[in-house]
Amino acid sequence: MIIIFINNNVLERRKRLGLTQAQLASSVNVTRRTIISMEKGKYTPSLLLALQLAKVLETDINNLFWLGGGESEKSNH
Amino acid sequence: MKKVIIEQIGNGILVGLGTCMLVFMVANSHWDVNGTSSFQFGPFGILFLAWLIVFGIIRLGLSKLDQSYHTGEGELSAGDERERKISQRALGWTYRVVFTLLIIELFGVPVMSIGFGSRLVLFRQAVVVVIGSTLIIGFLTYLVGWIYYDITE
Repeated sequence: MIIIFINNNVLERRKRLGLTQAQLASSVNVTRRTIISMEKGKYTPSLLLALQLAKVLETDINNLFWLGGGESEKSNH
Repeated sequence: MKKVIIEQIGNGILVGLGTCMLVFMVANSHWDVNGTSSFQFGPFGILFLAWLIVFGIIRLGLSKLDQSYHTGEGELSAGDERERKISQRALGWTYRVVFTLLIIELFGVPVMSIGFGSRLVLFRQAVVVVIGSTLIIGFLTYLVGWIYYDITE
Protein backbone atom coordinates (compact mmCIF):
# COMPACT_ATOMS: atom_id res chain seq x y z
CA MET A 1 0.00 0.00 0.00
CA ILE A 2 1.31 3.38 -0.95
CA ILE A 3 1.12 5.88 1.87
CA ILE A 4 1.10 9.47 0.70
CA PHE A 5 1.60 12.14 3.28
CA ILE A 6 2.25 15.83 3.26
CA ASN A 7 5.40 17.46 4.56
CA ASN A 8 5.51 21.06 5.67
CA ASN A 9 7.91 23.63 6.97
CA VAL A 10 5.41 25.69 8.95
CA LEU A 11 7.69 25.54 11.99
CA GLU A 12 10.72 26.88 10.10
CA ARG A 13 8.73 29.68 8.43
CA ARG A 14 7.03 30.65 11.69
CA LYS A 15 10.36 30.86 13.54
CA ARG A 16 11.94 32.82 10.71
CA LEU A 17 9.18 35.42 11.01
CA GLY A 18 9.46 35.43 14.81
CA LEU A 19 5.85 34.39 15.38
CA THR A 20 4.66 32.35 18.34
CA GLN A 21 2.32 29.39 17.85
CA ALA A 22 -0.45 31.36 19.52
CA GLN A 23 0.07 34.36 17.21
CA LEU A 24 0.01 32.17 14.12
CA ALA A 25 -3.05 30.29 15.37
CA SER A 26 -4.85 33.55 16.05
CA SER A 27 -4.04 34.99 12.62
CA VAL A 28 -5.55 32.00 10.79
CA ASN A 29 -8.41 31.44 13.28
CA VAL A 30 -7.43 28.01 14.52
CA THR A 31 -6.47 26.67 17.94
CA ARG A 32 -2.84 26.56 19.06
CA ARG A 33 -3.19 22.78 19.31
CA THR A 34 -3.82 22.65 15.56
CA ILE A 35 -0.59 24.55 14.84
CA ILE A 36 1.33 22.19 17.17
CA SER A 37 -0.20 19.17 15.45
CA MET A 38 0.60 20.55 12.01
CA GLU A 39 4.20 21.35 12.91
CA LYS A 40 4.64 17.80 14.16
CA GLY A 41 3.32 16.58 10.81
CA LYS A 42 0.35 14.83 12.41
CA TYR A 43 -2.36 17.01 10.93
CA THR A 44 -2.88 17.82 7.28
CA PRO A 45 -4.73 21.13 6.90
CA SER A 46 -7.48 21.85 4.41
CA LEU A 47 -6.60 23.74 1.24
CA LEU A 48 -8.22 26.87 2.65
CA LEU A 49 -6.14 26.75 5.83
CA ALA A 50 -2.99 25.93 3.85
CA LEU A 51 -3.54 29.00 1.67
CA GLN A 52 -4.20 31.17 4.71
CA LEU A 53 -0.99 29.90 6.35
CA ALA A 54 1.00 30.58 3.21
CA LYS A 55 -0.30 34.14 3.15
CA VAL A 56 0.45 34.78 6.84
CA LEU A 57 3.86 33.13 6.60
CA GLU A 58 4.62 35.18 3.48
CA THR A 59 5.48 32.30 1.24
CA ASP A 60 4.12 30.26 -1.63
CA ILE A 61 1.92 27.30 -0.73
CA ASN A 62 4.30 24.99 -2.63
CA ASN A 63 7.16 26.07 -0.41
CA LEU A 64 5.09 25.47 2.69
CA PHE A 65 3.52 22.11 1.84
CA TRP A 66 4.62 19.34 -0.47
CA LEU A 67 3.83 15.70 -1.06
CA GLY A 68 5.80 13.66 1.36
CA GLY A 69 8.54 11.22 1.16
CA GLY A 70 11.93 11.42 2.75
CA GLU A 71 14.29 14.16 3.66
CA SER A 72 15.63 14.32 0.11
CA GLU A 73 12.35 15.75 -1.14
CA LYS A 74 12.24 18.24 1.69
CA SER A 75 15.73 19.51 0.90
CA ASN A 76 14.59 20.47 -2.60
CA HIS A 77 12.40 23.18 -1.10
CA MET B 1 -10.50 19.02 24.93
CA LYS B 2 -11.72 20.59 28.20
CA LYS B 3 -15.15 21.42 26.75
CA VAL B 4 -15.74 17.85 25.58
CA ILE B 5 -14.64 16.39 28.94
CA ILE B 6 -16.99 18.73 30.85
CA GLU B 7 -19.88 18.17 28.43
CA GLN B 8 -19.64 14.38 28.33
CA ILE B 9 -19.09 13.90 32.06
CA GLY B 10 -22.01 16.26 32.70
CA ASN B 11 -24.20 14.37 30.24
CA GLY B 12 -23.18 11.06 31.82
CA ILE B 13 -24.10 12.29 35.31
CA LEU B 14 -27.41 13.67 33.98
CA VAL B 15 -28.40 10.40 32.33
CA GLY B 16 -27.13 8.42 35.33
CA LEU B 17 -29.32 10.41 37.70
CA GLY B 18 -32.21 10.26 35.22
CA THR B 19 -31.87 6.48 35.08
CA CYS B 20 -31.85 6.19 38.88
CA MET B 21 -34.88 8.47 39.04
CA LEU B 22 -36.79 6.35 36.52
CA VAL B 23 -35.81 3.11 38.27
CA PHE B 24 -37.28 4.54 41.48
CA MET B 25 -40.35 5.82 39.61
CA VAL B 26 -41.07 2.44 38.02
CA ALA B 27 -41.03 0.76 41.42
CA ASN B 28 -43.02 3.39 43.32
CA SER B 29 -45.57 4.75 40.88
CA HIS B 30 -48.83 3.25 39.73
CA TRP B 31 -51.58 3.87 37.23
CA ASP B 32 -54.79 2.09 38.13
CA VAL B 33 -57.59 1.07 35.79
CA ASN B 34 -60.06 3.28 37.66
CA GLY B 35 -58.11 6.35 36.59
CA THR B 36 -56.15 7.10 39.74
CA SER B 37 -52.44 7.50 39.34
CA SER B 38 -49.44 8.31 41.47
CA PHE B 39 -45.96 9.20 40.28
CA GLN B 40 -43.03 9.41 42.63
CA PHE B 41 -39.61 10.52 41.51
CA GLY B 42 -37.85 10.03 44.84
CA PRO B 43 -34.57 11.54 46.00
CA PHE B 44 -32.96 11.01 42.59
CA GLY B 45 -35.64 13.23 41.07
CA ILE B 46 -34.43 16.13 43.24
CA LEU B 47 -30.79 15.35 42.42
CA PHE B 48 -31.64 15.11 38.72
CA LEU B 49 -33.37 18.50 38.78
CA ALA B 50 -30.53 20.05 40.81
CA TRP B 51 -27.88 18.71 38.41
CA LEU B 52 -29.94 19.89 35.43
CA ILE B 53 -29.76 23.45 36.81
CA VAL B 54 -26.10 23.24 37.91
CA PHE B 55 -25.02 21.69 34.61
CA GLY B 56 -26.94 24.35 32.70
CA ILE B 57 -25.06 27.06 34.62
CA ILE B 58 -21.71 25.28 34.03
CA ARG B 59 -22.44 25.09 30.28
CA LEU B 60 -23.36 28.77 30.17
CA GLY B 61 -20.17 29.66 32.03
CA LEU B 62 -18.11 27.49 29.69
CA SER B 63 -19.62 29.18 26.64
CA LYS B 64 -18.52 32.55 28.04
CA LEU B 65 -14.98 31.36 28.84
CA ASP B 66 -14.36 29.22 25.75
CA GLN B 67 -15.24 30.91 22.44
CA SER B 68 -15.20 27.57 20.62
CA TYR B 69 -17.94 26.12 22.82
CA HIS B 70 -21.60 26.69 21.95
CA THR B 71 -24.37 25.45 24.23
CA GLY B 72 -26.54 24.61 21.23
CA GLU B 73 -23.89 22.36 19.71
CA GLY B 74 -22.67 20.86 22.99
CA GLU B 75 -20.05 18.17 22.53
CA LEU B 76 -20.05 18.80 18.77
CA SER B 77 -18.69 22.33 19.26
CA ALA B 78 -15.49 22.80 17.33
CA GLY B 79 -12.88 25.53 17.53
CA ASP B 80 -11.50 24.89 14.06
CA GLU B 81 -11.39 22.40 11.17
CA ARG B 82 -9.17 19.94 13.08
CA GLU B 83 -11.58 19.77 16.01
CA ARG B 84 -14.49 19.39 13.57
CA LYS B 85 -12.71 16.41 12.02
CA ILE B 86 -12.01 14.92 15.46
CA SER B 87 -15.70 15.33 16.37
CA GLN B 88 -16.78 13.52 13.23
CA ARG B 89 -14.42 10.62 13.90
CA ALA B 90 -15.41 10.36 17.56
CA LEU B 91 -19.04 10.44 16.44
CA GLY B 92 -18.26 7.52 14.10
CA TRP B 93 -16.99 5.49 17.07
CA THR B 94 -20.08 6.42 19.09
CA TYR B 95 -22.42 5.50 16.25
CA ARG B 96 -20.87 2.05 15.91
CA VAL B 97 -20.80 1.32 19.65
CA VAL B 98 -24.33 2.57 20.39
CA PHE B 99 -25.91 0.79 17.43
CA THR B 100 -24.06 -2.44 18.24
CA LEU B 101 -25.34 -2.25 21.81
CA LEU B 102 -28.88 -1.47 20.64
CA ILE B 103 -28.87 -4.49 18.34
CA ILE B 104 -27.61 -6.70 21.18
CA GLU B 105 -30.32 -5.25 23.45
CA LEU B 106 -32.99 -5.83 20.83
CA PHE B 107 -32.36 -9.54 21.16
CA GLY B 108 -31.25 -9.46 24.79
CA VAL B 109 -34.29 -7.75 26.30
CA PRO B 110 -36.83 -10.40 25.17
CA VAL B 111 -34.52 -13.12 26.50
CA MET B 112 -34.15 -11.13 29.72
CA SER B 113 -37.96 -10.90 30.03
CA ILE B 114 -38.14 -14.70 30.14
CA GLY B 115 -35.52 -14.77 32.86
CA PHE B 116 -37.37 -12.24 35.01
CA GLY B 117 -40.60 -14.24 34.81
CA SER B 118 -43.39 -12.67 36.85
CA ARG B 119 -41.14 -10.02 38.44
CA LEU B 120 -42.49 -7.34 36.14
CA VAL B 121 -41.25 -4.32 38.09
CA LEU B 122 -37.73 -5.71 38.18
CA PHE B 123 -37.86 -6.31 34.44
CA ARG B 124 -39.04 -2.74 33.77
CA GLN B 125 -36.24 -1.42 35.96
CA ALA B 126 -33.73 -3.57 34.11
CA VAL B 127 -34.89 -2.16 30.76
CA VAL B 128 -34.46 1.41 32.06
CA VAL B 129 -30.95 0.53 33.31
CA VAL B 130 -30.05 -1.04 29.97
CA ILE B 131 -31.17 2.04 27.99
CA GLY B 132 -29.51 4.44 30.45
CA SER B 133 -26.27 2.46 30.38
CA THR B 134 -26.25 2.49 26.58
CA LEU B 135 -26.50 6.27 26.56
CA ILE B 136 -23.74 6.63 29.17
CA ILE B 137 -21.50 4.25 27.20
CA GLY B 138 -22.25 6.36 24.12
CA PHE B 139 -21.14 9.54 25.91
CA LEU B 140 -17.99 7.86 27.19
CA THR B 141 -17.18 6.44 23.77
CA TYR B 142 -17.40 9.89 22.23
CA LEU B 143 -15.18 11.28 24.99
CA VAL B 144 -12.56 8.53 24.61
CA GLY B 145 -12.65 8.86 20.81
CA TRP B 146 -12.23 12.62 21.01
CA ILE B 147 -9.26 12.40 23.40
CA TYR B 148 -7.68 9.63 21.30
CA TYR B 149 -7.86 11.60 18.05
CA ASP B 150 -6.83 14.83 19.78
CA ILE B 151 -3.65 13.16 21.02
CA THR B 152 -2.83 11.18 17.90
CA GLU B 153 -3.69 13.82 15.31
